[in-house]
Amino acid sequence: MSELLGGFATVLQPEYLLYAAIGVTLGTFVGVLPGIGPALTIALLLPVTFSLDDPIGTFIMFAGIYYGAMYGGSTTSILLNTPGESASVATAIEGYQMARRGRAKAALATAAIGSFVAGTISTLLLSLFAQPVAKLATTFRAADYFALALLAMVAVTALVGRSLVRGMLSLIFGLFLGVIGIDGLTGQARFTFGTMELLEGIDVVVVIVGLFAIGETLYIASRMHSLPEHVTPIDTGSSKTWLSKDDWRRSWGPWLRGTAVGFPFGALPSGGADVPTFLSYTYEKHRSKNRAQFGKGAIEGVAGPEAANNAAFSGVLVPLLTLGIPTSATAAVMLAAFQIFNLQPGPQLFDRSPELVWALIASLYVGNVLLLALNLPLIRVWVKVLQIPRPILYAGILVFATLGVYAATGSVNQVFIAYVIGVIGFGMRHFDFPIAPVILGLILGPMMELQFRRALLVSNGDLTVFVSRPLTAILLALVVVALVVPYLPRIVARLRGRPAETKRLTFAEDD
Amino acid sequence: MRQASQGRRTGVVLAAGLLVVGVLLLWSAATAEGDFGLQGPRLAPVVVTVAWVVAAAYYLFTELRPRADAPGTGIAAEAPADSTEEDDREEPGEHDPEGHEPGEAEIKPGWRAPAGVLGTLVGFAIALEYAGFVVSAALFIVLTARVLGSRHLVRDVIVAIVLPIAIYLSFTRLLDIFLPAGVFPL
Amino acid sequence: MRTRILTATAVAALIATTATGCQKDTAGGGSASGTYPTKTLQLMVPAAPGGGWDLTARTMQKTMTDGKLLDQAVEVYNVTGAAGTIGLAQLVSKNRGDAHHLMVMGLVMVGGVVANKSPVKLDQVTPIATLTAEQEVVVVPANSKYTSLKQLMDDAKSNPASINWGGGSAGGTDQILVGLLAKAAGADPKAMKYVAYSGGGEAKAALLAGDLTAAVSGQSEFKDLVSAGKVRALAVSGATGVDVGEGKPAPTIKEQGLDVELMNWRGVVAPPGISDGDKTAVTAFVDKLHSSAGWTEALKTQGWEDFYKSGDEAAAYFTAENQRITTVLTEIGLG
Repeated sequence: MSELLGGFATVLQPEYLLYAAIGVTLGTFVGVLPGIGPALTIALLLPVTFSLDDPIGTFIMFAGIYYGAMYGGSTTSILLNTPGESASVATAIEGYQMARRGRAKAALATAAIGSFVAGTISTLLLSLFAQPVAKLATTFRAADYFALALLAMVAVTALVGRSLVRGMLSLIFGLFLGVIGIDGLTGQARFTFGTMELLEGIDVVVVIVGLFAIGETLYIASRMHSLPEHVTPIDTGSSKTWLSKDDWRRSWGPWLRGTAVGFPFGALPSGGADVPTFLSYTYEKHRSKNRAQFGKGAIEGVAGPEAANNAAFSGVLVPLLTLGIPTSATAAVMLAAFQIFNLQPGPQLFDRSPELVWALIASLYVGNVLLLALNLPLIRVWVKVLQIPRPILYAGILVFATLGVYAATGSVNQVFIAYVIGVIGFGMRHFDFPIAPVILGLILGPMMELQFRRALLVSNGDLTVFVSRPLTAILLALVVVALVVPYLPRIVARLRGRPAETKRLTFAEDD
Repeated sequence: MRQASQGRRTGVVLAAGLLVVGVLLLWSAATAEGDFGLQGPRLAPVVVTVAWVVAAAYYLFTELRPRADAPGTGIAAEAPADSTEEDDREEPGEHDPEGHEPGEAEIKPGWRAPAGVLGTLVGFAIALEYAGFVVSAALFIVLTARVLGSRHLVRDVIVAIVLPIAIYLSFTRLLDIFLPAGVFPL
Repeated sequence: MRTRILTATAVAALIATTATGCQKDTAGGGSASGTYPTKTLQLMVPAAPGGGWDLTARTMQKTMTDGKLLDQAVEVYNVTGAAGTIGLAQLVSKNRGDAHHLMVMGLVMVGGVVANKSPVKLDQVTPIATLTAEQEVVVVPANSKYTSLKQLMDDAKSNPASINWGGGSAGGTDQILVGLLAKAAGADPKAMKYVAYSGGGEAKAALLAGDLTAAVSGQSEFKDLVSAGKVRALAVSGATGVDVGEGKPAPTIKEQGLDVELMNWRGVVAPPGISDGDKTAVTAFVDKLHSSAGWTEALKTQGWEDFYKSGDEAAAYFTAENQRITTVLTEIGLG
């Protein structure tokens, strides 16, 4: 505890507070550019941190950038349905619907406050339980990851949509995109059709920018002639408060549950932030009394995933700081930042550089507060984005989407790949295919395949590897449970002789 | 969203198209050289494309099936879920994937605007490295706004000049992010 | 960024640039050796920000600017993908003849060209210099029965299926080392069970969780785990042992009776088609960078070994490495 207080003493120096403020502001303003999500923002802004000579300042700024980027990314997901990375896709589903119904302020507010709540709680968990949670990271073996990925897949897609066949086709398309490129284990090319550009596979960010920012714009364009020139939000709520009493009542549960699922997932190598956001979304949808509102802007569907997303970041720091294991792209970038100062995070980092570690943790608390302080007032500004005339707004979105992909990959060919995926996204919207399952397939497919094959490789092809350890066996048993649970209400209803009320027990039908 | 019979026909064409693409991809996956075993790199592409073909075939089947048919012939577990799809056909407003405004569902989509936007996008990407970011983005904004129905040329031109220059300067000067300067050296 | 201090040559370059409408395609305006670079120097990192090449490029940039080694600006940009081969292809096709366009690269790219069957080969570019190098380290968990590299390799030879090797991406430095070790120990490189991970971190987790028998990685990656006693370093791959966390230098592979030496080196190349004068000028400039006080300082902070070869020596080294790596990757079955 005293170490943490020491950390605060460091961070609260004016100079470091300034770094934190600069970080949060930069992150927010770059992250809020449509089509440029947190992942791109961090990649783009990493070099800025190279210019500082002081490790503590760098990390404080970095934490600020990350929080800012994450929140900025959620803002555009909510307002314009242009998520910039997989962890914001779940937020976009309900958030965009809320914005369309004039509830943009409430959506942004529940995202901001939810991020703050989740960020603060998970940072507390990080400061208290870093060492025991780190064990988690070294308990999971390849077979367990396979089982976990399978569980996540089943939990969110046993219910892929109203139209099962369309949802499945979307999911399969995502799986297909995930197979493209060099196979991670053998280095063999798959579906690259002889092109260099596809060797690395199609980046999730490129897919998301294509499917959302570009696909959505093309879709709007096809209907533009019948739409009013301004998007104009009709703000139904009182303009004085961000969240109504009812919104608060409906938000706090999802915030806490989102935190609970986000933190441990973040702590797992190859866990990341995207899977828990989808899990949180599905869970909130299941248990919500307002299930009928899902797809039409249910606030729970924004509160949960946003909290999960933010909590995952503190989770990610656990294995990074205690073992030097980066579990997400962002963490890998942070590890690089450590290496710039020739620091190797690991078991001894807490002993060797306690000042740095605790300052970093303290800066997370500070970053959270600054984020809230910056963004609650800014909500008023962001919703004004919707008053920009559509032609200019969408032209601008396309400029940023193109710019983001180009700046991050350095290649015009990647921009063209994003455009092609954008056309597919337009077609999917036009023909009523849900978008989110594509992202799920793209994230979980490669993880399942790779871990499955790794597990078999280390066990010399022995399939019992998937049942021989209790952890794997339990996870796989949960998969079976998850397969059955969605049908329980229907079975129960049938038994009671009522017509099945199952239509709404679905995922991503309206995304 | 669409007229029943016309929607049917597009649905059938789409499903058939997906099936053809799926079969081609499956063929490509199945004829690749390498290890098709459980540990090998060639199995997953086959599994995915087989799933694609099966799903597309089933989709084609549902699109071809007479509307009144009882949905009993599919995989047992899937049938109920699929029947809801049939129900939704009757509620076009709810069927919209984006949940756009109810009235929007009846909008007849135009093709000129999206095609035009795609054209300007491709032009933008090609011009980017030659003409530089500022010039290509400025042209892109003016043309795209036009395609999207803007009739305020002066406003568009002002935005088209200010925005790209602001982006260019803040990205390259403040954030040290490389953007092609092209013919307009700043 | 593109601040131009308009010397006479730069004016000429500027006119040429605006006239052709494409700055990148014009050759370096002035090739007079003393004044290089005469315009903004572009440094391509053929990988995402945050990796070893990126760090090398940004350190170069910082050293050049801080040490006032040039009057011009230095721009670093990233072209991601496929072990750097995408960037390589771009350098060869787009920047031909442009001496103000350099690319950071290294051993990983040599392997990438082979493993990815890249249509663009490394001999198409103009070698300038190798700059730094890092040794590789072979580690096992603390509770492993292996206490020396020899024991590990004996088992790898007699029962290859019993050893799960792990490390970075397929065809990368780590797998190359496993292949070289197997060869030197008389085992079949193809029979080695190598599990590829997307980064050192993931391999670390797998080693600690028990999926792997041994992991191979850059020398600094496992430092903290070694000094915490969670893993044991069996060998390092350089000519002389380095401390990888035990407080004393770890034994080299050669010291343990296997004739293998592998350095994960990084260097810099120029596009193809530059004039001999330009090549001399660029080499002289990189020489200047290498001998600057700022670079010595940077090597120390980063813990990089000085691995400088330039001019013909660099060209010869590139060729030799290319040959060695191609052979071993082919023997592993990745060629």
